[in-house]
Amino acid sequence: MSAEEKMINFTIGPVQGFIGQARRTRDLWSGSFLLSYLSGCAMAEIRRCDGRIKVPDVEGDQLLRWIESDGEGAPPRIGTLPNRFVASAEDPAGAARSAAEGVRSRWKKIADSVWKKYVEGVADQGKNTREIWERQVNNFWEIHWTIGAMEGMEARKNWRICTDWSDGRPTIEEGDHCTIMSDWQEISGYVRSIERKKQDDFWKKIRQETSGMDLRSDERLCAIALIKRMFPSVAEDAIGWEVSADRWPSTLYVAAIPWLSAVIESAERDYANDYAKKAFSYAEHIRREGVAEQIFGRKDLFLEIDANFYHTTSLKNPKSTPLKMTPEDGDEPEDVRRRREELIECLEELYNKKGKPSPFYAMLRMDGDNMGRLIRESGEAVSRALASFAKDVERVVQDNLGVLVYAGGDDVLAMLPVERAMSCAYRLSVSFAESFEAQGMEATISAGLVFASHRVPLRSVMREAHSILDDIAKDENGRGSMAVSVLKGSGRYCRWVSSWKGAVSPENEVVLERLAKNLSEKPDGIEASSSFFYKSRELLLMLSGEHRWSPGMFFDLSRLEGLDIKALLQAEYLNALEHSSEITADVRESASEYVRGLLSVSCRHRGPEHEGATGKEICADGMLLVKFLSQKGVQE
Amino acid sequence: MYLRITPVDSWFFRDGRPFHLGEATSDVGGLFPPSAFTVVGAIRAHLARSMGWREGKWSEEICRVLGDGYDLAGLRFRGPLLCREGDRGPEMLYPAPLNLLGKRNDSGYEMRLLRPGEEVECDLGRVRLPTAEKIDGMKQLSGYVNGDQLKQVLRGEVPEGRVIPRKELCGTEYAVGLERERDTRTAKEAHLYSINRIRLVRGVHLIMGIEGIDEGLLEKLDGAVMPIGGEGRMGCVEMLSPGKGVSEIRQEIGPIDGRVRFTLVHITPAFLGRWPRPGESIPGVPGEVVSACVGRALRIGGWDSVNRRPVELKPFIPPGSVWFCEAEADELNDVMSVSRIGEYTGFGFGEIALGIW
Repeated sequence: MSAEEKMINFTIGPVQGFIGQARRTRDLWSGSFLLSYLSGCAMAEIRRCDGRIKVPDVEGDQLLRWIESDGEGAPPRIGTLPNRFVASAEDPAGAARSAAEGVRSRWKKIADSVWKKYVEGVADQGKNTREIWERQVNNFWEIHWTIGAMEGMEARKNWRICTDWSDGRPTIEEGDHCTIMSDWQEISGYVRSIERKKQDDFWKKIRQETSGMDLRSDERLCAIALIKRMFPSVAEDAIGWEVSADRWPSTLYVAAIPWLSAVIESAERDYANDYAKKAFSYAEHIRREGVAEQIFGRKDLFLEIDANFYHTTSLKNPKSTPLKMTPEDGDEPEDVRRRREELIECLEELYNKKGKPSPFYAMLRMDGDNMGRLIRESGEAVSRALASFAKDVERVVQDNLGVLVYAGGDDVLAMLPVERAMSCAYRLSVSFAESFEAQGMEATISAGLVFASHRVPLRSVMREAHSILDDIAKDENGRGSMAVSVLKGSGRYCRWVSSWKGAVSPENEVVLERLAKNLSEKPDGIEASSSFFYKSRELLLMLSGEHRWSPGMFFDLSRLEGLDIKALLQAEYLNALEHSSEITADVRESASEYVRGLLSVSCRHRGPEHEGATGKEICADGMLLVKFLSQKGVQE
Repeated sequence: MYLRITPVDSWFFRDGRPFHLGEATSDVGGLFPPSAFTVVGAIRAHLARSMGWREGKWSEEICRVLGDGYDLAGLRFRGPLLCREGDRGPEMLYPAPLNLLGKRNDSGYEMRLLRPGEEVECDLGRVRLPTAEKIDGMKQLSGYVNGDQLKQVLRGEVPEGRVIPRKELCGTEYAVGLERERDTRTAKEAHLYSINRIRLVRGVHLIMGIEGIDEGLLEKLDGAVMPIGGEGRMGCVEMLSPGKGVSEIRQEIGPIDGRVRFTLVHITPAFLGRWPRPGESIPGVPGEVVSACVGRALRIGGWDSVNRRPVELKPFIPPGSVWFCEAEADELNDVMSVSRIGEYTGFGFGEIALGIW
């Protein structure tokens, strides 16, 4: 048997269907960790069959060591093993079958643990709950493997059929559907429109089994979503070690990181901690231990409150910030309302001194370009490069005050504060390229970065990150690109894309962030810029002959020969400034410089394979993104 | 007879996400084209109204003409499909077959067609998986092809021109709905929802075929403005003149070495009780499956307004999916007679085009 004939290509899916359908950051982490864990179980099984994992390089991987009961030190915090890997074995088909069986049995064990702890005692109050549970648990995963060249796996992906389907097709899901994973039935089995009380009673009981805030009153989940949600509390029994899901910050917390950092490093620290003490005495279950230590490496009280308590808008809503004695429905008693007002006053006082926290955070997804071809051509050298990159990822994300959710193979998923997110993505792209250069190869990574209001459902944010990475960055703009989208509560505000080369200055600064910083340092400039940015967009739309603007649209101005677009935009800029500043020679000079920068980020910069193919294409969204970043996302 | 349905404004077709009054619901919908159940439901409801129905259960007379639920009485539907007004009149569009791969280059897309390759050992057994040479970096093209391009694919040729991306036909609009507190004029708690509406590009329509309908009743549809999909959003219906509409797309198939090798390309979603595995047969189709390009299940459900409960969410084979099959030469006529497969074909589901590989 040749070496190629002994190769196993193995994948577990659905990735987006499992990870992306999340309501909380904890679901997001839990989904990515579980998928990584199951992939690790498949790898462990292949190694047990005397096989060898070729890609990725798993030597020294902490998660795999713990799965193989060989772990030392602290248990792994995040998933580090990709859902797809290449291995070799003497009996490759036998090893692959064992690996698939290994995944099924470990998944079953986790599902059983959740069932026993949270559902078994309530199941007889449901309608066919056990049947629904088993149907979903047994039919969820898509485990595919091929033997031989990697092309076989590419071909296998074209035929979405699973050997695991009990009925020879995907399941039929009756009744009401899960509030997180809408393709699946919720496990009470009742239909809300006609059996509301029975359904509510069932879920009330499940909620009683869980502690604190694990399930919200409007959450009715399928087996898969419930397993993801409750997995951390059964982890010791199900996988053999404890995981600390409570250390995962909410999106609102991530958004507030720069503000928290500024407050705690300032003279207002004691005031802030006093506010926290007051909040802890007025409300229950609002302490988020471990979060601050993970992000800031310190344990101030102020850094450990539920992030809703950093926002006066949330404090004004008793549902978001219930205090002791806040009723589930109806008005709060007078003394509770007074305490609430006291907290609001304290927080407003802090706002007066240190400004407001941003309600926006960034979700970053990155993925290596053309990895299939690289692995086919250079095999284990790619593994070494990826292993070197993986070592760098957590440090780069932490340096930018972010939280790494997943880093395995060529994939990265992280949450970051708005201000540092683009720089972080760029630094990671540099680290990726350097890791490959060290192995004598050229490789690029692309990014999908979403700046989202905490009000936008996490599921929508994940879908946007996925779509802009695959469709806008990689497919439309070409490999080695970063696509950025801003999602506000009212919908998509803007969408921008550029190659890495087009996004940074010769000094390796992300140009958009620099332009935004310049703007935010001139309060008058921001004032003027609002009208300038919107007017410029309208002007470009009119010149292009298009009727309607939509986010991400490139205007083709190639037919307007002789048009000096820079002079036009500069005149608009000066016109906008006229109301607040005297137009001196210096102002003209700085306007010229500024508009040059804006134009450079607005022009189309395609990835390396498309270079030179563009016409005179301009996207107004570059300017809108500068405006958004300059406001640090404080205004929704 | 074919009906052309044009949106008055945007449309809203919900997916399986729960949508209950009194609970905050976000990011619902965006399913397009809508399922045949939705379009047929809108047409039948309009016809029932024209026969005097206002609310509640239909009368016996209406049920005799229009059927009820899954019973269509004598009605038969086809579609829905998309159509775009072009320089040469209306152009029917079909979901791009999933055996068509492409990669963007400077002049558009470079494309290749997959067909069954050498046997590969995999979790399905030893199987001829769909493949082709020089497909590095290529992926399945989600979008639409016109009739001529589909015919080329059915002949086993790479189509000329380019696949029409979905964004050239329709866009998604995010919309927020709320109920206001009368006193504070703020959004009422748990009464805030967000949905994704579909806006068709000017000149793009839905086309639905209808048969078995009384001439007089059919006239009630021409020029009608009827609610379709969620939120009571409206569509204008026009009858297309005879000869306009969906022309038959067929590829002549002949036996080679005593065997007939053919492809089935799904034009509309299909529900099969069991998705065939390699070596198995498709119900109602002679021969056996050699290979396939089949996408992830499209889950279609709905709302049963009479019984006030959700309709079960069923997995449909998505349009564009392709089966590569082989039959005996003497089964050729039976192969050529296949035009729809699976269940609910009267609604328009399960329509296929035959080709060769």
